[in-house]
Amino acid sequence: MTSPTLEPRFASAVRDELTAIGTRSSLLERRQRRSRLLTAGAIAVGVVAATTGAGLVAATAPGSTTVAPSGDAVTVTRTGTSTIELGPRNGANAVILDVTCVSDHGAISVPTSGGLSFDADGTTAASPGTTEWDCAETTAVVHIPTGYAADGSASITVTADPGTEWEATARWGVSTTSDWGVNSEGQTYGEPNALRGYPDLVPVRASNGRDGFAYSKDFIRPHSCGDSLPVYAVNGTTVVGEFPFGEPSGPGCAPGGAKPSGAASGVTTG
Amino acid sequence: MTILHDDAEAALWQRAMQREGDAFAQLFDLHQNRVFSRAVGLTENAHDAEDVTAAAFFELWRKRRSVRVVDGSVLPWLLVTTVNLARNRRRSTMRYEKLLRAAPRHECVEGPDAESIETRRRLTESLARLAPVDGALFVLTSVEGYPITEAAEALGLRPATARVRLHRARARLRTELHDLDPRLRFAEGTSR
Repeated sequence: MTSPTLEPRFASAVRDELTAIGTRSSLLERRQRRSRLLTAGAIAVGVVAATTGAGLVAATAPGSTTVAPSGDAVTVTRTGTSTIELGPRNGANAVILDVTCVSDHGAISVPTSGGLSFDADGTTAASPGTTEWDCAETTAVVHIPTGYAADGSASITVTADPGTEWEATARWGVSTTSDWGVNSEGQTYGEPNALRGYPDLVPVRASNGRDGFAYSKDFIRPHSCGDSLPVYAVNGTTVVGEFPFGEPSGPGCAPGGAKPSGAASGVTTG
Repeated sequence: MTILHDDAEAALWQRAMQREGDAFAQLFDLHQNRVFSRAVGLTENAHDAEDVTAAAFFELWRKRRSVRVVDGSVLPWLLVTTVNLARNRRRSTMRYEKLLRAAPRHECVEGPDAESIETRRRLTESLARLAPVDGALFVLTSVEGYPITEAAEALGLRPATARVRLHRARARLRTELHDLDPRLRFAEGTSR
């Protein structure tokens, strides 16, 4: 019996994807960057939540979402996908979780709220998402302040690879979103959020390392690959740097055809 | 089929660890047939086997920091990963669903004969009932022909522990598959 071989065109497609590793056109690496951005977004909100103290909400950036614990913590150790029962909800609108890998490999995924999606004309909507990571790469505690439990549900399900052991401390929380700032031109600025969508100006870091703001309408419009967005001071007029957007050589990067959703949802997901 | 158990593959792997795509592509050239053969033996059809094969190499990239290299080769790790991916194909390849859906495929696939399907189904079911590490240990040694010490290394086990586990796994499979003469059938599609 001859050994079976991969269908040549399929093999060629897989090989091409592997060859692209280490370049900006790698779909594998792009996917991982997006996952990391989503996780980073959740962690950023988590830091805010952790420093506010029980029952206090003191957002550091206008439009930030903070989550205050409300209810008793439940600590569990589980293997594979498992549901954590949280007890009575009492008006809570988020689940606060600290999840730690016990195994040294395997993927873990937690449903989150606080993400945003937008369509071509810029209409935004709240969009549940996930925070996911791999135990081979992340051994530290992953703090998720905006875990998603469906309305009426009293539990949250953590999805993990079979055989992957994890520990979690989970409790109900109440999330609150602060108002955006308004500059001298009457433009709103701050963090996009699931409650209100996008302000006029969203915080970005320019390629020169300076923090500033970009017009959210510039993020949302279709852009040409290789474009840079201007980065402004909070007044919306003084340019402090630029934000590179897309690579001309990347796949699916036809002029005017690239989608900004990956970058934008990474910035905004909490 | 080329199998490098020397410094050449170890050097390739060093380059791959530095995110050199060309090195991953060369590792794919080296090992795709062995991985696909194994996947065919553990999945229901050629499409599933293709998915598992692609996912095994994508996992080689994703888990590159924790891959165990045995005797300079990543093949044992790839085969262990193939066994584990095949255990729960749908869930394990979901991570790469978009990439896999975009890849070109045969319009239709030639079906294997009924006896081969039955053998495969029985083996897959029996492996699924073993602990993942025991299933991988069995495939590496009894099917792929690796020495127990190398299989143990690939799985992060001490050789003595691996021997005991393999003995138990074999005894169990022998009981469950006694009518199939596994010794002969498992050798199909392997090159060692």
